Amino acid sequence: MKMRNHKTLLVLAVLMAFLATMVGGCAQKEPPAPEQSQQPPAKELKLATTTSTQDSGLLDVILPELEKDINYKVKVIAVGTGQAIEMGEAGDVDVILVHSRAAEDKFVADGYGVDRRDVMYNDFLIIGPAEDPAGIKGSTDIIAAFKTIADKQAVFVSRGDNSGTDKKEKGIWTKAEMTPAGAWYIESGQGMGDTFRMADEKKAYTLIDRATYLAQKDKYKLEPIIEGDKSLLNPYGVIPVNPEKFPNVDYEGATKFAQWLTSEKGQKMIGEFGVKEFGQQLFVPDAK
Amino acid sequence: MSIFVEGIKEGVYLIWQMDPEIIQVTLLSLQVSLTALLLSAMLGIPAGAALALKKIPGKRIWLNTIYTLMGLPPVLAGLLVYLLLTYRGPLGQFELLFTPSAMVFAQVLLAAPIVCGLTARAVMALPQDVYDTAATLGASRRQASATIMREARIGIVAALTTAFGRVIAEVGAVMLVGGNIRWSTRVLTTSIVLETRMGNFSTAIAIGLILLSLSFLINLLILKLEKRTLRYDNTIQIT
Amino acid sequence: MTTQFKLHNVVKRYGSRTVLTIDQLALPEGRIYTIMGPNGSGKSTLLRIMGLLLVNDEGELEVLGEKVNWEKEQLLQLRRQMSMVTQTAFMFQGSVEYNVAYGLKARNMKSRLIRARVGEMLEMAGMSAYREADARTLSGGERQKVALARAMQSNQKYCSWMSRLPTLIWPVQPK
Repeated sequence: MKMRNHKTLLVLAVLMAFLATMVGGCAQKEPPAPEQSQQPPAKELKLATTTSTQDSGLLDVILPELEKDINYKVKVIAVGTGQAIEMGEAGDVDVILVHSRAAEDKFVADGYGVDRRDVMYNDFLIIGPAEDPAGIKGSTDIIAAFKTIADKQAVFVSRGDNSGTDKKEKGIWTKAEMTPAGAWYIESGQGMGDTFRMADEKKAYTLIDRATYLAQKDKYKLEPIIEGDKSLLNPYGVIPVNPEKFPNVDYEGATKFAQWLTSEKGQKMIGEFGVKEFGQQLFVPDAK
Repeated sequence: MSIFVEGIKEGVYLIWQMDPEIIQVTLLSLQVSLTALLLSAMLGIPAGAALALKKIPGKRIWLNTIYTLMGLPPVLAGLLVYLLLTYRGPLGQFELLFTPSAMVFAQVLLAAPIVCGLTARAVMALPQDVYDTAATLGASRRQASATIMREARIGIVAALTTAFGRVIAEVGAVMLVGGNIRWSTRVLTTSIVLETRMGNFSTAIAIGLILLSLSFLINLLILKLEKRTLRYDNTIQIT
Repeated sequence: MTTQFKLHNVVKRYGSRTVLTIDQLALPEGRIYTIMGPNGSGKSTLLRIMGLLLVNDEGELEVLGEKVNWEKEQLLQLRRQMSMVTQTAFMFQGSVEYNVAYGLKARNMKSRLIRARVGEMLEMAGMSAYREADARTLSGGERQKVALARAMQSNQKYCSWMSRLPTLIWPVQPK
């Protein structure tokens, strides 16, 4: 019996030691080869952005450069647009990067954000089944196309989550002076990738941003139906959270972040993103 | 079907390569869930024993509450902890949001009721003889309590494995309070969500398989330990 | 001759059912007593009250010359002078040795002494061969012997044994 006790104690001891290395929230294994060896240790910057921004892969490419230049470690929290703005309004992050102009303006007007800057834009397209049941392919009138979809009750998958994409789509319905409802209008309540997948499953139309479309189109069968219309542009804004409302936020870091994105170097990197992989620009640099 | 084969191949590849990101994510998953389990055991086992043994007014209601909390939806637990830790929230000044500590906190909310409830049940299932024998042999209250817990240890281990299974596999709580931040609060389950969202199904399956293998290994370890303390197979033999 | 047990107007109820009523009962030391009665007559209840496992609802109980106030310090002190072997001869998980050593360990006896004493008790019960066996693998009779060995501590002033007659016939080595 003594032997058994020792074995259990040994295992428990190993477990304790293992956990002890973790307690204190220091489970961060940095990516191999940290670069800032001569500079003072990098501070943390919390960025709230949208899932479609993260999923496009843009951040994975530009952040390493950005972090090196401004000596910050950027913690990216990707959620829906609504939640990203919420997090800014709660003071839980230092800066937000979203694409929902009306919501951004309100964010600033309500005093939660300061110094909004344009960063870039990409565009949306309507994709759908090759058979094009609503017969709208190549149309140049988005609003009429949406009306036709509703009339013919062609299946349409919406984000339904108050995201930037969702608000864009709702905006078009509003201009068409109608509220879509019925079995044909499906609100997924999920991110762009999941919505794309669902639309493909259901052979439906959907509004999608070009970045997500290009990144994932090989997995699915849906094709571009309408694109290029000016109303389908999707501008991004970067907004530091107001330090007067939330003294805990790192306003200096957020400003450096925003400045880098709108700098010549940052803009150039944004413009180059995706060209090699997809043969076309995913984001058009748009800093003013 | 080929997607699963792809997934298995990719999973083996990731482990074989010792891909640093996968290793970090796996270690973090283990650290978060094991810490949560440890804390839940420290809270839940004594609480469960007390609930079973002590005369408490409204004991049945307490038990019912614990049983209900055993089924607390992870995403709800995550939301509650989020609201506690947000900057303007009651615990905002500790700046714990989006850290592994917040994730541990949320998982303790999920695991502790399970440990407590199942421990209480294990103790309640013991015959009166356990106490009677101990007491008449001269055991003090403390000694008798220790003996009761020892007799209930199979049930308590079951409570721990159940609680562990729950938290290592949940995603709602850690996603909300952790934020799925790369290298920082990303774990196996949130990685699966991310890869799925990005359409990388085989990678998602690969990570899922790693998660299952991990669970399997840990449960195997616990079973091996249990086997050492019980030489005789107590289950019913049917002929 | 001191009186080991005294019961005075003791009553025990389960809910509305009165299961035991004792007006007067005095048991002096140095004797072996047998309680006999039909099923449900309260034998086990009486023994459990006397064994300090059950609290009486009314009346006074005196054990080993002391008035029982059911405080845990007194209970512990009294219990360590008595022992009981129950009908089921419940065995703790573990070996026969673990079970027999239990009472000795509870009294904080030194390990070396415990090992020796356990050997003595097992020999007295004729169960030495079963020392390492898992206690749950024993037959009913074997369990009773182990339970008896387990209950025989030093300084025992009183030992009670609940069982259905006849359970067990075995020669006891007088010590």
